Amino acid sequence: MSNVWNRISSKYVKNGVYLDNKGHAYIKGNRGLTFSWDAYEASKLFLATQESYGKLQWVWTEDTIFGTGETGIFLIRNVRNVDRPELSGVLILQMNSYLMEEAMKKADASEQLFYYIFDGEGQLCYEKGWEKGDEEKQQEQIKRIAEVLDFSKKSEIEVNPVQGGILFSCYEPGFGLTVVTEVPDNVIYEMTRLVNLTLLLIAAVMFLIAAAASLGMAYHFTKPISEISQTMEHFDGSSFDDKIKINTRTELDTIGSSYNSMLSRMEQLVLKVKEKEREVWSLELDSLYYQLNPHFLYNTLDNIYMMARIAKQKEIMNMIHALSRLLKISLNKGDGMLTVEEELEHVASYLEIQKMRFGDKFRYQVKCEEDVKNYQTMKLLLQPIVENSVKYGFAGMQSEGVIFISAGLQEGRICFSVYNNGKSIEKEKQHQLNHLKQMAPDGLKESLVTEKGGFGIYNIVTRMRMKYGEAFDIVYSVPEGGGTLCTLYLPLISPKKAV
Amino acid sequence: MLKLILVDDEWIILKGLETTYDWGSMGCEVAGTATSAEAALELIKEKQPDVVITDIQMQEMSGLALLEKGKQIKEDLQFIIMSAYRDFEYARIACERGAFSYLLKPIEEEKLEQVMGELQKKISKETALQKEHENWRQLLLEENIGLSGILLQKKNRQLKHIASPAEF
Repeated sequence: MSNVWNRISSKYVKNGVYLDNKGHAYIKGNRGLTFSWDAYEASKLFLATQESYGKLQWVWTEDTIFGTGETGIFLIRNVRNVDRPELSGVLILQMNSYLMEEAMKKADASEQLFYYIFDGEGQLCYEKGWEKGDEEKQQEQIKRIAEVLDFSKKSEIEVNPVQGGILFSCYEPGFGLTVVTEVPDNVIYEMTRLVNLTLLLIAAVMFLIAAAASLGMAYHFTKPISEISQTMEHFDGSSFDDKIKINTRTELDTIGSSYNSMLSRMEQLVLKVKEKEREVWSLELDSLYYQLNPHFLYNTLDNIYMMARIAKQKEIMNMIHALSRLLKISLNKGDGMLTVEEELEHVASYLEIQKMRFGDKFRYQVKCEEDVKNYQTMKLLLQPIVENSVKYGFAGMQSEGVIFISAGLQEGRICFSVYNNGKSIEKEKQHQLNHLKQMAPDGLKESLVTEKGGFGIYNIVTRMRMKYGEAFDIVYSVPEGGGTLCTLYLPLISPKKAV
Repeated sequence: MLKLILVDDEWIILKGLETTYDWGSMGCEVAGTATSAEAALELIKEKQPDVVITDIQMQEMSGLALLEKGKQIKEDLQFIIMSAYRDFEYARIACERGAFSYLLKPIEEEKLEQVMGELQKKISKETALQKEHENWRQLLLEENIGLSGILLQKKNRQLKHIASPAEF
């Protein structure tokens, strides 16, 4: 028998005994332990054997049979001989707590869970997880667990809540023990923490998406609304082109298009009003012109002339007469062309007046060759040239000024010459004026027209350009003896039939 | 002396015309002045002038109308038209209607003298012609001169009263 016992490791088995049906107790180890039959028959162990035929039973109880007094796991089994009905013997093993520890080792390494092993009566066999020093708490918790669980229920796996955690209990039918794993709340929460975080994250993302979506939606509406209000605000009454351009496929479009059409109507109205104003202005201008009607002017001048004549005021008569002649030529409506004779008459009238005004500062002479008299020339070309003579040529001179104007034919062109015996033209100015034809039309105005004047020459050169193109010439020169000579060459246009 | 009527609706012009031009030296005498064409017509009827100098543009009746009506009253009435501006169209029409000449305002002495001189010539020519015409008429109608007598005159290019064929 001891051979058998030697084969069983002492690591797991503390004590063991085989009881045969003759009443012998074969104890392992033979360390002087005595087997108490009475204790055995009174114990839970005996009870357990009664319930099974030959199955191995795990019993948690106090050792009364080996005399250790320790509470632990006992394995007990009826040994049977299949040939015989009566019991052959009983094998009892008192297990080491090492067994439990070994078993527990396989449990979750996490130190947060609590592990219990209860026997069928709810007695705690083993626990793992509680710290030393928390005995009171432990007892309380075990009490709670015992309240919650039913250790005699022969179910497989149960999950029950308990204060502070969740109990996973598993009844091992083979062992008659219930293994309970208590997962404290914080562990659960720990597990759910990740889930919570993920959920939170998802919620956050959803929230962001929702926010973005709603903002987007709102923007979809606020943008056109703000555009509408901006456009309306922007309108300052001057530009009617700032239309609302939105396309939302909602009623806002109606607002937009209504505004636009209102704007168009306003523009129309404004245009109408402007036109009416223009009409009024034009009529005013007409009435103004009517006042300045040449006929009115001429008749008035004639009356003044006659008054002067009646009063025997020769100078007044002369001046009025000259002015009258001047105006009749310059205000003459027509195609802007005169005969050479008429143009000379015009400039002579001008000179007559100037002479009277400036007290014989100068005298003048106008000559016209017969053969050129009836040719057509552009009107009002000579007067600006002559004006410059008086302004610049005679500047500083008080008397002895001479202006000589002549017209003739030269090399198949009409030739006008205006000579004054005053200050000779400066070389720079002469050069500028002689190269006017080469200048671009835009540059012409800029270079000629200064604060001092120069508009006259700009005027005639531009007009000649428009009428004659390149076929004219204007030449400034300084003749021997000083002074300034200006010569105009104009192309011939066939004479009009004089009445 | 030519009898003259001056017509202009502007009184200053009229007064000036009347008083400041030496009509006498031009062989004219101002018989009357008028400030309207109607008044002018009355004057024409009354004074039977030789010449009417009138402005062309007046209220109501224009100078041209005056020309027409005036000639109706006195056939050989001469007209000189005055105008403030060159308007050849008017001048042409006026001359078509029988005006003698056209003067631009303000009237210059030389021009006026020139025109009046020509007018004088014309009128004297006409008077002379008229007189000759009258003599011929008398010769033909009133005195009993035979055809031979007239033929003789034609040969001599003279208008002579021949008392009898014997003279011839």
